[in-house]
Amino acid sequence: MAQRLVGRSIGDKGAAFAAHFFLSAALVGTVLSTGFIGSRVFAAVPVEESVAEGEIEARPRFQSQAQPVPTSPPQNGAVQPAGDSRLGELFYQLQILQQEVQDLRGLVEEQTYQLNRLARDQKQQYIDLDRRVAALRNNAPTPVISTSTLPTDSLARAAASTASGSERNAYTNAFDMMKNRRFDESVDAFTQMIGDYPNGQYTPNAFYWLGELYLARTESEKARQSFAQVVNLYPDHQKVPDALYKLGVVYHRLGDDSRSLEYLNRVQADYPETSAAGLATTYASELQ
Amino acid sequence: MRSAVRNAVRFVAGLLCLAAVPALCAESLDTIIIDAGYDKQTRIAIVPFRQGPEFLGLAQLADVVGFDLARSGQFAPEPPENMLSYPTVQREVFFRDWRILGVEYLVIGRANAEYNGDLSVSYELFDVYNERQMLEERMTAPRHKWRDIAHAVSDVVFEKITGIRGAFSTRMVYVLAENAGTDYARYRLELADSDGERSRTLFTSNEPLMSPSWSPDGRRVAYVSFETGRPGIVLHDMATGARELLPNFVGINGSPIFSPNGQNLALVLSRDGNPEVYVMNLTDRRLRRITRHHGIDTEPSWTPDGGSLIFTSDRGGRPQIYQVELATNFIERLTFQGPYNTRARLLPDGQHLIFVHRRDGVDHIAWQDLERDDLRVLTATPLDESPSLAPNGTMLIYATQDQGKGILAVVSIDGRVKYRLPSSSGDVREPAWSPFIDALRSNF
Repeated sequence: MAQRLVGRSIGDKGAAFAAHFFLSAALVGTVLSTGFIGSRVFAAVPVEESVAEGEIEARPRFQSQAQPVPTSPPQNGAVQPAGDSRLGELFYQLQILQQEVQDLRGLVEEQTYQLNRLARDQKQQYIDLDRRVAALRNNAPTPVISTSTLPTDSLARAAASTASGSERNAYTNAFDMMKNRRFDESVDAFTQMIGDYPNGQYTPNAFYWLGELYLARTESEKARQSFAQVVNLYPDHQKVPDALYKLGVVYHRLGDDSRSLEYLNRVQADYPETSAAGLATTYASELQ
Repeated sequence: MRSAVRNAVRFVAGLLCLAAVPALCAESLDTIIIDAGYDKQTRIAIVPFRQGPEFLGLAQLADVVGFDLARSGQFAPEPPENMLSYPTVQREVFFRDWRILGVEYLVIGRANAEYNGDLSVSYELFDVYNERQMLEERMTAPRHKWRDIAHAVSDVVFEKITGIRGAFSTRMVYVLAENAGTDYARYRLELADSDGERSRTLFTSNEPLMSPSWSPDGRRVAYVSFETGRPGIVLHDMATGARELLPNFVGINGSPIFSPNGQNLALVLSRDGNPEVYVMNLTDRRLRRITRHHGIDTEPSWTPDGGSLIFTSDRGGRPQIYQVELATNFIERLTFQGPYNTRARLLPDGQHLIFVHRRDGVDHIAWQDLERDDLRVLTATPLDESPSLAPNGTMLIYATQDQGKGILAVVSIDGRVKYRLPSSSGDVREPAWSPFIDALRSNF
């Protein structure tokens, strides 16, 4: 752009854009003084006006100061110089108004944009929320598993659905063995699985079921170790209340009743809403 | 690692300069790779071509191709001194030699002089891991188009491997200003290869030249010249050098830009008191006024479908980018971040905008995704302006300042590859990257 280069050659690039006005005014001046060249060429080239002008008609047309808009004579019969100054004042006010309209337009544009964005974001958030609620509804929350009965097949599969395929398979296999009362094979399978996936999604579950299996085989010390792994390594896991309750049971079997009571009380205090808490209450009352 | 690559590239550039005619080299732009960006660059070996004694004084074709590919940022060409063998035909290729180097692709070739003086090049591209030939081709062109052959080879290899059409055969025009601001000011409209080599002057004037832009067929360039003492728009025929001064109007005549079909020219006129965007039909020279606002409307460019114009306007108090649909005159604002956004160009996909964006008072080149509104600043230098896109949309060239001097610089659309093209002769500014052209057959 012309104004850009001029702006830079006078060493003020920052004002380049503002220099549009400066330059256009200067150029108009030049051409007016050099005469008719511009207007002659002007006449030689037909100009077709743009079609949609509805938006524009409502706005006052800008006229350069060199060609003042004829105004109606002043009502009070004032002399010409006074009219000129009034015209100057009008022109000045027009410029101020134009600037203000431009600023307001900018504000409206920005606010419209922000409003559209907000509406869009809100819609997005709603869709996202809706999707998540739907997902929750389909995968109903896993109920706390009762320790007296093994969870149903479907539950184990649902829980396993998000783990990596091979880990899920290993878990389901070990679980199925336990369900079919092939306890020894199941112990081996869970142990193997913990070795293969030490940081797997189902490792805490595997520890828990190992504890249960050892308990069934009356290997209380091994059972204690397995349940302790769940409680110590995965303190936020959903199996923790059950593991705590089982630790209470294990310590009772190991003959340490005070430790046993400690764990049973902890389940009741920390997880009062769980079924493990109910079982712990019963067990504790029997113990005493 | 990266700096080693950079040095190697510089070394190659130096070699190129030595090989080329010295007089040309002094005028041409140097290319210095600043940042070759990608972490995972494709390893490629371009074996020096067999060039007989009749090629004395011409660049080694493999050097030109290697430098082209290195400049894209996506390739790491293997330095010839690392190569274990220098095959020029397929039976001399032992893939094991190249696997050891970790090279993924291999280019070999040989050049011959024809009886009529033309030069021909046969080359082959191999996939080293799969030990298979991907391409074999022969190109012939007059002797003065030697570098065009090299760039054409680069284009084909680049496209074969990346799937993106290469733009190495393209040209650029720019304004070279000597002694600007003094009584001895001279302005040259320069034409150069996309690597800055082989620059030549299209037109010289004592008055400013600006805003060059290419016609979509690459045959003409429109620009603004002050040669008559007032700004006027010139259509310059590249093949013949013929210049046509369009009828000019009171005030500004600026920012000419061809429509995608080449039949119209968008431009800015201030004949009604302030700058407005117009479209001129180049067949019957009729003008149609597009914008009508007491604010400034300027710097038009076309959407790829030719149905709308993008332009800069301060109708909202500050310069921002707007789009006007030509059929309906419906105007929509496109940029909302920052107080100053100007000189916009759309990428060939029509979805991404490149423009000058002011952040913390400093002008940078920025990229914006129109669908998602992401804005990304691509350049870190101050005073960046006049971005112009490569026709394949992967890179853009822009003008910036280095130690108070105007230079050209190139950045990839993702901002990761950067190189600069300083000139030893003066200030360079207002670059315009050409569309795809058939460089082997063009007359310029």
